[in-house]
Amino acid sequence: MAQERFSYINHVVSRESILTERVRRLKEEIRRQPVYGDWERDHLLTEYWRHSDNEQIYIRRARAFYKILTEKAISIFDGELIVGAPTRYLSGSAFYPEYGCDWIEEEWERFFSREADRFCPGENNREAVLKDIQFWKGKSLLDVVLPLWRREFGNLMEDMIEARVTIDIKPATQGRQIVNFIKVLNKGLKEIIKEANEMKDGAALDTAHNLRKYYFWDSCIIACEAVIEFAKRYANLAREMAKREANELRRRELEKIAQVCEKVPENPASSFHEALQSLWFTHLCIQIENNSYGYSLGRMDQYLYSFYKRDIEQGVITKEEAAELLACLWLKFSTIYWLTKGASAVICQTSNFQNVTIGGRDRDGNDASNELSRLIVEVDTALKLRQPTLSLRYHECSDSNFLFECAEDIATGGGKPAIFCEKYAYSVLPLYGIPLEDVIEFAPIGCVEMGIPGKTTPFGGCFVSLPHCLELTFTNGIHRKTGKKVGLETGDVESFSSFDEFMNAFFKQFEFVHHVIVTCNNTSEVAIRPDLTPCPFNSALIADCIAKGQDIHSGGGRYKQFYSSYPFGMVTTANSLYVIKKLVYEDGRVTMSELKDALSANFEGDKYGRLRKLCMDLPKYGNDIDEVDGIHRDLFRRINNIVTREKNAFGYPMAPAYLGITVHYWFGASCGATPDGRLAYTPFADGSLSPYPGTDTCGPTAVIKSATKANTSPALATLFNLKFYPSVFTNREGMKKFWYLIKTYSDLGGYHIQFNVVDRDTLLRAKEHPEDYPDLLIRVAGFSAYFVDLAPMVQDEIIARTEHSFG
Amino acid sequence: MRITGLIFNVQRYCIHDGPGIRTTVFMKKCPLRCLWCANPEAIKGIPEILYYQNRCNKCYRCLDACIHGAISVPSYGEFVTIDRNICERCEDHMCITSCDQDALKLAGRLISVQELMEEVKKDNIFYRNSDGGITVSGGEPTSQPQFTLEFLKRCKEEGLHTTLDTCGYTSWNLMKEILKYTDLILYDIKHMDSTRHKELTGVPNHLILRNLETIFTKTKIPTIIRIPIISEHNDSRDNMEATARYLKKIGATEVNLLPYHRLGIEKYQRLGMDYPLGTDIQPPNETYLEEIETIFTSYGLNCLRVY
Ligand code: SF4
Ligand code: SF4
Repeated sequence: MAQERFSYINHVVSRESILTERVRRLKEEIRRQPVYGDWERDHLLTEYWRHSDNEQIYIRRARAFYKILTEKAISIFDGELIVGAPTRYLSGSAFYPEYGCDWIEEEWERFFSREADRFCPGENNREAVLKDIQFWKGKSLLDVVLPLWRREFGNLMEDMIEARVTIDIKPATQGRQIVNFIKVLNKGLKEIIKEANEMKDGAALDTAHNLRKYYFWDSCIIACEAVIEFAKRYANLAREMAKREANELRRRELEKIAQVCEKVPENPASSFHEALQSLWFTHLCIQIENNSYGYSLGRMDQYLYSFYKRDIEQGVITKEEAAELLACLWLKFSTIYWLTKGASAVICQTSNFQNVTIGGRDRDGNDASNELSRLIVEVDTALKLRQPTLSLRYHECSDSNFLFECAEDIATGGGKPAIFCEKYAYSVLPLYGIPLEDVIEFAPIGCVEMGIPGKTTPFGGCFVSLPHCLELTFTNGIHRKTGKKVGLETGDVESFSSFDEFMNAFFKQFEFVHHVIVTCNNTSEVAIRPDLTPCPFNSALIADCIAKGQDIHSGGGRYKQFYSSYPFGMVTTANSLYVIKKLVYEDGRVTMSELKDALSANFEGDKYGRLRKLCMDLPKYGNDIDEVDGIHRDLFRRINNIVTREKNAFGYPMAPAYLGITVHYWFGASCGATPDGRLAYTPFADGSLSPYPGTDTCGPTAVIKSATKANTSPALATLFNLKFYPSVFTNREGMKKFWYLIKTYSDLGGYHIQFNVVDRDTLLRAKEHPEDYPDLLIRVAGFSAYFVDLAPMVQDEIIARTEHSFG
Repeated sequence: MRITGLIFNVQRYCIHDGPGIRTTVFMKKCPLRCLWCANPEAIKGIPEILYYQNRCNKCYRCLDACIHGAISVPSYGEFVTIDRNICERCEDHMCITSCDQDALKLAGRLISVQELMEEVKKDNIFYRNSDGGITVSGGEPTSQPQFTLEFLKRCKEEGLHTTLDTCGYTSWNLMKEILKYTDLILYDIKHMDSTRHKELTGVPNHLILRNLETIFTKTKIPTIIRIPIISEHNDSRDNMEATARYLKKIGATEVNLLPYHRLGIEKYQRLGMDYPLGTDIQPPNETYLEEIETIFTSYGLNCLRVY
């Protein structure tokens, strides 16, 4: 049924006009070709770095970027209308050794053989790569940051990483940002060069500070020129190819490509085609410059609409042609990868979180959805690609046919679009001092956090595992698996005479761990970057950087209050705390010493097995039971308090964001048994509002009630997954009832919700016969991935997740 | 007065049993014995043990736990057998807590009207947003008339929309009272031929049809006719034609078809019952369902399929 379209919905174009011969072939080619881990960018960078010791760092980075973009091999692949690839190959990623290189050496072989997120080595010369890596030793960001961490905390941060109380930050990535596409599309990079030039011309060179600004403006100019040059190389290539092209039709397409690339992104785009190409070059080059994921596109249906509308009205293109162009861009998104350490690979599961936002309201408060919003959903539905991530800004006046089309996309099983309730964003963003005109423009970045397009600084975020903090409370600060002391000595757990005392100890552990992580992240995320890895191109596209003459890492960006802490494992922790409260302190059915022993024995043996049953039989979060949900609510309140007491590198309070991507697998794998009955080294509940798999037995309304009891504000994100059967949508009535559910979620103060619409049998069959299900797309905790691409462990959990039956 | 009833499920987010988002209360006890019944745990008016063999690890703890001697093992290494005649009189259900595999469960719990109100009110905001409400189903709600009546009355006091899902096999005097607090009726018609009806459900159809006619003549409550489509049992063209003709005559306008499914089949095993319909009967095929729909629409009836 996923393949059929719902007859009661109006569509802009037919499915066939999206899945044209060309689009099918390109899609097939992308699926067929391996994903390459390509050293070319990294080699060019290293080459430049070897011979530029004396250059000022901004200039050095900008010129290295120039060298990469003007020397890297480029190709136009058969049938493409939108051109430009991240590596020499159709799909792939570079390695970014300047951010950290030990891990590349350690994992070199494993990139190409590991279970999940496998890459193809391509034509890399192993010797040359090792030589380059050797060069970066002692120079890379991680090499520089480690001694600084050690000065502050000894080996604590490294021990925490090893214990997986926080994320392994190798390879020191950033991202989570939306650059100013509106400006590039409407004014062109030449306008940005002009602005930087004006600033540069007027610059005083009398102080070190002023001189730095001068270099910064210069670096922005060089970086923008690099991107323009890059586009022109594609124009030349297209012209060359056109000359040799025998097929008349393709020749004209190549000539058109040449024309477009000659013009954008240097100049303002004047057609839909040019706008898409300009957007793509910008997006692509940002990622070539900076080791990153989560670079997002923002409100694409808004800023592209004028180009679309004009072309359609003036008969420049048909709707069908627009759909095909959009499809070509969509295919491009799925060629960008983020090559990371094995550990992080498990976390992101081949996703790099390029988030496209549609819907929402305009400045006058009217529904902003338009024909292009619908076309975007239709393209996304037809293509079923893992990327980009699609986000719907939901509000009550959303056009219902548009919503139905979104649900149709959800019904195809990709979990796209994820739904974001505007109401929550409107209530939270002003708390950060964001003026209304910018609040209105918010869009999710990465997976679920709010960002202000073109105005927020990128960041990595501080992951903190709450179940680990719970473990530390039981062990007086010792991590069970590694035996290392990473927490505080909060006292013998058996000595706590009340649940409150226990809770206090737990929050002390969290506060301590959080403080260490935030402090270290301030150094590695912000403090040392201006001198090691400034990003002039990225900075040029974020508001106020050029005006202030400051790189994004030095505080040039307008909004620096979104640096976030990501406490995760909320639900596993809440369920566990409830068990402690009830069994130990209220009913006295189990002593603390018994529980402690059971946990360290991982509930093994008859006695502990029965204790585990007691733990599991208690009510769990997700069933609309106030007693348990109340603990979940208190967790949010107290953790928000602790998080916001910490300051980011620019002096603003840290912002809490409860996401979790798929960290629940990775972090779960290093956490001992928890009092909720979860066994050692198994996953936590995902996200921050999703029930632990299989424990929500009362259906979606109950889960939604549980999920909305906590006042999560001022969290910049919450993450909530629900699984659905597609049969819900078979008629208009069912469809309406689905949206009533969302409306209620929004009314109750919910923010993000997304749906996994796949039936269990399909998943089981897909696990058994992956070859029959190359297209089966599922959404796990904030992103979409092909089921067959996922590690078996992840597949198993998806299968185990509670399904809400509507039959 | 504290009125209690025996229910076996309160299901939230039901979207097929009336308008909007609803909570359906499934009552135990039913005067009919339909061969295809998908809720066999609903039939008897007492709590019953469900035994999930697939979860049982043969630890035999339940053997000692049951002090009534209802559980035995044919020979070591086999699954336990439960003497359900003994369980009928059991009040402690000690076997359930003894099982740490969750292999033994109880279908049916006593609940007061007040407690039930608290449960169904949890989704108030969903009802309000979707024009939904409460549905009473079963089993047969009218077989616990006091409880159903009191519960529906309380729902109306709370301003909730109420739906009665009934087989119609009850006295009009009882039905009449319950309908005072009913906003929508879902009324099952299983066969037009009374002899056949008795073979399929255990009871003739006179009372059912007469009550339905009275509903149309004496009340103005919207009524949707629900027809289970059971291959080879009631789905003949003749019976469908006869049903459509009859419905037209008495003034019905809305018809729901409920194609047969086998989702309940495992419950029989858990209850130690045989599946009366046998496993050969297949769910009706798409083309034939469309044909049936055409029959109903040709009589001017709105026909919708419900799964
Ligand atoms: S106690 Fe449970 S698991 Fe053990 S034999 Fe009885 S039913 Fe089976
Ligand atoms: S319900 Fe009662 S009689 Fe039946 S097995 Fe359980 S304890 Fe024994």
